Amino acid sequence: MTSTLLPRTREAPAVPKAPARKASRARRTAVAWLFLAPFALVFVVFTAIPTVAALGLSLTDIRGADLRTPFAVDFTGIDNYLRLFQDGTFVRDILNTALFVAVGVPLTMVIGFALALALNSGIRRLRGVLRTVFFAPVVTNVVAVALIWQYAFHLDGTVNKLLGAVGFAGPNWLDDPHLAMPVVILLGVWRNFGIAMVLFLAGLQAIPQDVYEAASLDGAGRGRQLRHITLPLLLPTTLMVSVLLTVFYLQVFDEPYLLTGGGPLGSTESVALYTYRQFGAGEFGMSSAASFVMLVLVTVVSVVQFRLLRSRT
Amino acid sequence: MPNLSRRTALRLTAGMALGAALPLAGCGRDTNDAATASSAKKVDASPATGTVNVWAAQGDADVLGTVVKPFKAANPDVVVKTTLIPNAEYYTKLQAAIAAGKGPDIAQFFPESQAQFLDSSTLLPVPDGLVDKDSFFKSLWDAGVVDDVAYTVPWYAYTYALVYRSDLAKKAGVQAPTAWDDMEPFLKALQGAGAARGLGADIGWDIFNGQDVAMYAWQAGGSLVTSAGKWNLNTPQMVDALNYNASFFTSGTADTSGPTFLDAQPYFVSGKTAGMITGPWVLGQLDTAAKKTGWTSSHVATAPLPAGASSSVSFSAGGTWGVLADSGNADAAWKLVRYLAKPSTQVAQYKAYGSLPSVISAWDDSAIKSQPLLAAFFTQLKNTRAFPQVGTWQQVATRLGKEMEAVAKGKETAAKAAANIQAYAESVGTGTK
Amino acid sequence: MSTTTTTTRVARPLLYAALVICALLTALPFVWGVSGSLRSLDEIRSDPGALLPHHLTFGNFTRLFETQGFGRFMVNSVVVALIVVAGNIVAASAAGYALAKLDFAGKRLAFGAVMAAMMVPFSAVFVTQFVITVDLGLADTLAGIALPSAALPLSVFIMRQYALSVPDELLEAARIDGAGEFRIFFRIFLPLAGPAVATITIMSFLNSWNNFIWPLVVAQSMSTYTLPVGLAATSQAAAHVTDYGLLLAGAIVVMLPVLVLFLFLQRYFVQGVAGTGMR
Repeated sequence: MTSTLLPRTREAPAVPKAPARKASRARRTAVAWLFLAPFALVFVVFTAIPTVAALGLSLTDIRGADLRTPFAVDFTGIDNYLRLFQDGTFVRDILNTALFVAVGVPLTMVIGFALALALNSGIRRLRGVLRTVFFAPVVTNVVAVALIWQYAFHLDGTVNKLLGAVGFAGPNWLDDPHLAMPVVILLGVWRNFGIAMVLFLAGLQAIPQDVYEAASLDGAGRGRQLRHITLPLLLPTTLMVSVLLTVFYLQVFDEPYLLTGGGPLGSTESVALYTYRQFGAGEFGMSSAASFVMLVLVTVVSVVQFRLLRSRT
Repeated sequence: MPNLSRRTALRLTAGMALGAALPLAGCGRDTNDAATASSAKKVDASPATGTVNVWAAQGDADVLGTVVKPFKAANPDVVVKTTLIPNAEYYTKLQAAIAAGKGPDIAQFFPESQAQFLDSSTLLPVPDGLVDKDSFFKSLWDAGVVDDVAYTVPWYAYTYALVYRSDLAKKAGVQAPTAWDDMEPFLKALQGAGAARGLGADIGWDIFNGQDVAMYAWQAGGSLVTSAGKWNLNTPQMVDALNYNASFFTSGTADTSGPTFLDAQPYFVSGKTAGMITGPWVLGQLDTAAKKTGWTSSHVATAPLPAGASSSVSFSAGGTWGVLADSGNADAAWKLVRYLAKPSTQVAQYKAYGSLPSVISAWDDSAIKSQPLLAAFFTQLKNTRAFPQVGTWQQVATRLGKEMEAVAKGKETAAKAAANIQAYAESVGTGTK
Repeated sequence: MSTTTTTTRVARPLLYAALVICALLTALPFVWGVSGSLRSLDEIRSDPGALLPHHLTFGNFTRLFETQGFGRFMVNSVVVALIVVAGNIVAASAAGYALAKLDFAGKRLAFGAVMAAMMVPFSAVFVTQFVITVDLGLADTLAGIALPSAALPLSVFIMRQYALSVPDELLEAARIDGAGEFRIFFRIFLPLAGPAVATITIMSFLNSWNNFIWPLVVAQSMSTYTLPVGLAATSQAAAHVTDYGLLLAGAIVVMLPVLVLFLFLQRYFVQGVAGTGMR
């Protein structure tokens, strides 16, 4: 399967084609859209239309019962958005989410990368087992894991028990506004580093052996090789991991919802959680507005990241 | 078609969105929501027919199947389908269903948070003569009334009262406190008799805590909204309430780090705490927590809450039933609601689950009258107030709980917290149309 | 498979040791979860910190399987997952292939839409999505639960990235020979796309199996509940007290199929992922 790892060529194939063979653009477009049809159908019906509708509704003062008669609501323009930013809790939640991303993404990537590097260093045995163990958190049910985390970090839980064994009195982690977020971040990282690891592993495996051999012959040590060969060649992978993780983490919901409910003192409440709560309180407009702010944020951050990292390639 | 960049694609989408929103402009909300209410059809005594879909939150509704058996027997042509929904997501699911026109016939509501649903486009008004409104605890009935129209019928009731270790109180030779000033000495005395902490205070710092504080503000003589319907939270009474709640922690009679909700009973049973301000459900559970039948009757006593400067009023809470405006079988639905409000059904619900009746006369039943520990709750239930019937109360109460946390932990003065909560409440408004 | 420079004799055992420690740390929560599911509720409450059960008991699992409707919840989850996985494999493969290998008008717009779709938060759309589901007559149906996830943008993305790494020459050669696009897709491309299909299978299965809020909203009666929803709705055994043992047992049961699936497919999964990271 080495052919899948060759760099893709962008030039036309060497064999000249008879012009008559090339189907018209229109025909090719039609065929292509046939391929896209199943996806496009689901996408338009279940994603595009609801998104557009929700955006429209965020510009009104709609409430629960009104959804069946959407034309009976008042168009309030950006009122909801203004109320949103006047709500100190919303701004705080944006900061919380930013913290989660700013700490969580690099941490996840570093751990994933380190493990990928380690697993790629000629480890023969245990490789499959290790890979499975490291990936297992990704496939777990978050409700269960959050439960376990809650007990682990309970005042009398395992973590404090272990700390006690070495002489430290562990704090009540989830009750402390300064400590709760690190625990939430830890949960997020634990659940996701496996993805980063697998992606980096694949990237590492794509680097041909000869490049390293040539470098060794030239006298370059391992550290040098890492910096000048591995990292540059991994940039596309790094970019993808970074964007993927950022997109996920910006929308973080499960971890704070299940672990702390957004507390203590709202120190772990994320924007997604805010959105959800607004909806439960019947505030459709606010909920939609918050969601779209989040959508904008996610898009902007992704595009920026893309541009920044792309320019380095 | 030229190649579009991703940016342009997004711009296009946004444009489409605005285009979709434009038709909404110029179509205003009909502020003349006239009394469509008064035309509620009367419900007769004929048997119910068809299917009745009931949605309820997990908890007291778990036993509905048993409780409605007599109803099904008396109405053989009716099918009652109950769907239990996890508590935390209950309103979300209900809202989504209402939004899509796919709700049930009957839905359970919680009086503390049901204001957002009290609207003729969501719920049918309670038909005249269906139930006698005076048969219920007043505040529970009032919780469903907006503009003189009732939308919900009370189901079960609860409120908070003081639950404490009678054995320790006896040992210390103290009686239950009747005023705020008596609380601290009382709790300290319990500690002297062997408890680690006098009170297992609520440390959830969420809506439930906020509701406690609101209740204390009432007890101090304050109100939460003005008669004009505006928020009135930055008051000396609110400051008193915050300080009173905080005093449990600062005086050392309660701990900010424990017990959490799940540990409340084990702590109480083992003597780590000697008092709880809580609801009646614990009475049925303490025996299990203590692993000894009869433990509760020999170790626990209850008392109404101590009074603040003004009164010892508590909040009214529980469950209510509403029939959705969309319902296709309102007639049978109301008949089921009427059945659930009968004193005998109320007693059956109590026997099956321990839910306290919202119907006053049901309390005369021997099953309940014979429970000395429930007497305090009965007294308290007659002295309750409903929280502000505004759509944003849930959010404000949650925020109040968070402000309380800051005060309890010494991070904020009560005065500042009161100002904060007023500012927050004003920013979210009262949600009235 | 490639390796960097070979590690020295001393470093290798150290590396193994470090990796094993990391693995143990990673596995710790699982150990606790399994152990918790084998303890009685009383034991959990009295000593939450213990790693292993004092008294092993299968009571939680028996209660779980005896939960009213458990079998139904399980079946629902499986059916929904099957629809989602099948849909993703078919729809995403075709779409991803087209985006990578076919040249047509509106291609960039389409890809942009896929990327944008990945950024739409669920909370923004689930209500309007539900309204549409109802209008299509799909409320309270397993199809209604499954369809919105039947063609995930992520799957399209995965397949597209993988397809990019398949050399054009193969496909061009077939085109020159006169094969139609569909033929090329089914006969030549798909057989090569095993790893990507495996990846899509796992990711979409995960998405479907652990989904909670959407199935909860779509279901109008308990007979349509999927496993996570059903467990949440029935696990509060006593009033106001959460049954941790039961919840953990349920969680283990919910986790197992996915883990098993991954165990079988992991080799292909890594390969599949290998094709996505390059460009």
